[in-house]
Amino acid sequence: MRRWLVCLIIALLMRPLGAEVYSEYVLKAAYLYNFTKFVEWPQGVFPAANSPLVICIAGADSFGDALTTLDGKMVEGHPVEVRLFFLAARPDQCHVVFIGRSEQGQFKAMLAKLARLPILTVSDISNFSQAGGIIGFFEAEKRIRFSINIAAAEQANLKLSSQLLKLAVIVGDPRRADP
Amino acid sequence: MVAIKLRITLKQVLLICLMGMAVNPAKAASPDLTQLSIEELMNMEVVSPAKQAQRLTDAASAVFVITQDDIRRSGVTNIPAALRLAPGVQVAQIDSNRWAVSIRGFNGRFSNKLLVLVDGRSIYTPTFAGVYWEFQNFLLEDIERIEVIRGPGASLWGANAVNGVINILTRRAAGTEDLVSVTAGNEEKLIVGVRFSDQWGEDAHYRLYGKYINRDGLLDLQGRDAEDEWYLSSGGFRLDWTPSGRDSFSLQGDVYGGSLQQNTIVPALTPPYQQQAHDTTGDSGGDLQGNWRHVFSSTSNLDVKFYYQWERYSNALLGVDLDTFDLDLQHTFALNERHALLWGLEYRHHRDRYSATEVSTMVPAALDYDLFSAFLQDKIDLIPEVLEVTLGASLEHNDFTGWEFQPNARLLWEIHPQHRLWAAVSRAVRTPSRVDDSIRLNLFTLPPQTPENPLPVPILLTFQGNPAFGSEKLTAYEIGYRALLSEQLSLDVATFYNDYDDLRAIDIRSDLATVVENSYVQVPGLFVNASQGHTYGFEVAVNWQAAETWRLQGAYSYLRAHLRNQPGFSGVLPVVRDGSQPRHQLSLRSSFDIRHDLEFDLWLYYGDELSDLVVVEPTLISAVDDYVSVNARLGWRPRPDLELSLAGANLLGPPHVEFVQEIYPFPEQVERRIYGQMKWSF
Repeated sequence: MRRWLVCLIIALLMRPLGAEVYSEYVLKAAYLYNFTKFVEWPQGVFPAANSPLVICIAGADSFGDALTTLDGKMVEGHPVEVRLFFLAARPDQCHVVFIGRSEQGQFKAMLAKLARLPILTVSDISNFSQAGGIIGFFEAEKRIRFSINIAAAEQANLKLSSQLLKLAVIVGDPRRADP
Repeated sequence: MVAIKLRITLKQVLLICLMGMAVNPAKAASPDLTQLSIEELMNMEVVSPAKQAQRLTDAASAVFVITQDDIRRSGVTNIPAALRLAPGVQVAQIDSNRWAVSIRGFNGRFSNKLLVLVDGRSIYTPTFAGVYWEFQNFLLEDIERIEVIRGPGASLWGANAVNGVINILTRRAAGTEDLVSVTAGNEEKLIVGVRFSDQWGEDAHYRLYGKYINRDGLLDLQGRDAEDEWYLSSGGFRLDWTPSGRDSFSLQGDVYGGSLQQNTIVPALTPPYQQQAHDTTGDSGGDLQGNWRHVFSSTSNLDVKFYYQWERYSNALLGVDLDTFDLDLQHTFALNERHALLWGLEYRHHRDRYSATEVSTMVPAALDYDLFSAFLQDKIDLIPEVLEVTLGASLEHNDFTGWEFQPNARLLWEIHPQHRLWAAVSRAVRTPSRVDDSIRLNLFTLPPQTPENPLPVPILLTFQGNPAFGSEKLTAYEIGYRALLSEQLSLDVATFYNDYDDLRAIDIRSDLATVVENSYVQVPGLFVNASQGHTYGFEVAVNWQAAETWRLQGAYSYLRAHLRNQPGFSGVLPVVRDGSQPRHQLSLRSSFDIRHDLEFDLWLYYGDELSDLVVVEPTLISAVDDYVSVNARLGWRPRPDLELSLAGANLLGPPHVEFVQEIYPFPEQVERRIYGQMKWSF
């Protein structure tokens, strides 16, 4: 932990002074971490109280080193673990899957594969949540916003807190059982 | 176990931290924003990083992306056919295993103003500066996307990216599922693809693939089987290893081999002075490529790439043994908030050995030659979020023409968040190929005592390479407009005016005629830089998500050419004329999801007539009619891991000729194709 602190301090010191704008993916990484605090996974998803919460990144990694800030953080007692690769062989090892823009062509097939698994799908592909993903980022007035597809979350058996929903643009029809 | 794992992670993190400091102290790590609440995050302003992986709408050039989904849903079974989806690309099938592909004109089997890359590896053959499309036989399912850039890309990619660049990108090994795919139909007799992918240790993934294709021949002009069937087997692998968030490595390779039946008419010196050869092309080749990417920070990274590729090709016209070695380095970084820099160096070595055939020899038969190049590009945010200027240039040295300088300037103006205008001026050159420099080719024979040849002996026309042949030059002017008219509707328009000089033409030198063995007269046609002029046109692409389950895409291209002989040259044979390329091209596609497991795709393609083809031989036809090709596909996914589809191409039309090869022509007709496909992924 101390080493982390050193790293963090250095990072803070190296931060360009006065520049209060952030790179897109630094923000998105922070969002990813924040989302996990507002999601309730079904029982049994975490084998133990201290099992890691795994964030998987599918597609070309646009985050650069932004994700290293998440590694080792804790969410409800679960250490966050970031895997740069989407483990297609065992998708159930992931709790969050971030699908990069490079997967534009095949994200629907990926969603089909993840459907009904208790996985929070997040992406910045346009109209992602409309297409059946759970959380989609979009940019408005130079700021990053997100939309949520409640039906998709319900299908994945995830409970999203009302605090989160309040901040999101809600898309999709929650009454539709099977999109 | 957990403790050990954790320790390694920490060690790695520390290492990353230290490495980051050592290499780029200004950007040791990203700021930690995780302590902020979502509300706070929502108020943060974003600055896009170095824009290395640029959004399509931000490109100051005419770019079109063919995605994996487009390839799958269009029902194509080879790459040239997929390229028809893009505006501004001319694609024509010559026979069952040869294609003519170009961008913004100059189409032909030997078209030479196009650079084609697979994961950054040039697949442009130095023999004639074009591409053997028939050997690009990787698994279509492995393609992530095909980026088609119309207009010069020479300031980044070097010489020969004259009229456009096609970059085929394959998927990473991670996330690819195991796959068995079987396709069979009347023309695609059998295509089998198998892919296996797995994880290797903590940080590595790999995949292996094998593919076999066996295609039927087309029809000759009389409607008989042209007997040009062919088969090709290929296999390969890709390994991706990411030991840390900063370094990623990949190693990939392919091998292929096959046998292709081709029809050719070759000259003879005795009656009937020509002879139809039903010839077998034997071909094998492969490549091995390694990449290393090191991320210094979110605004700086380094890519190092090497590749080696080889090709053994032999038929009645040409026998060649080629090796290429390439090493390439590229560094991207943000100099400050305004300047994003990209620079790179490349070294390439070619080694070739040609063997003489009945009709061709190379002089010299074997050659080793090198290419050095360097490029620099600066992308400047003149007015952030509004006006962006890109200045770049490449400088290279090749063994045929020496130094070549290829600059370009691009401007992107964001009129409105949904509307962008761009403009560009670029210079590009096409450097000589081995054929331009060194070929001796017996082209055709004029029989004796005919109106064309009153002599008592036949005249043999030959092509002769010219060591003095220089580069072909282009100055291109482009303007484009891109709009997101609504969430569902996007429009992309690009226009161009290409000004060419020193284009290749053939100078028939009767003054160099020689009498050979008292039995025939040989007249050489020398390659010279003797043609100039311009081409112009525009392309429109529309993408409309008409409903959640229904997508419509349209692409229209207009193309004209005005070329003439340079002063001092008369009677030279040009390589292209206005009537030798399609004036209008139109592609209309509908992708409809009938149910969540049922897809129906319809694709109409119109290619204009080619009224005045340049075919260097008296032949049966020198004009090709316009045609409409109707393609359809029905795909059903009864289970998530199984896809069954039925597809057809050229469904309505009668068999038709699409193109006639420039030399040794044997026109063939494209037939209706119907095939079924089964894909099982697991």
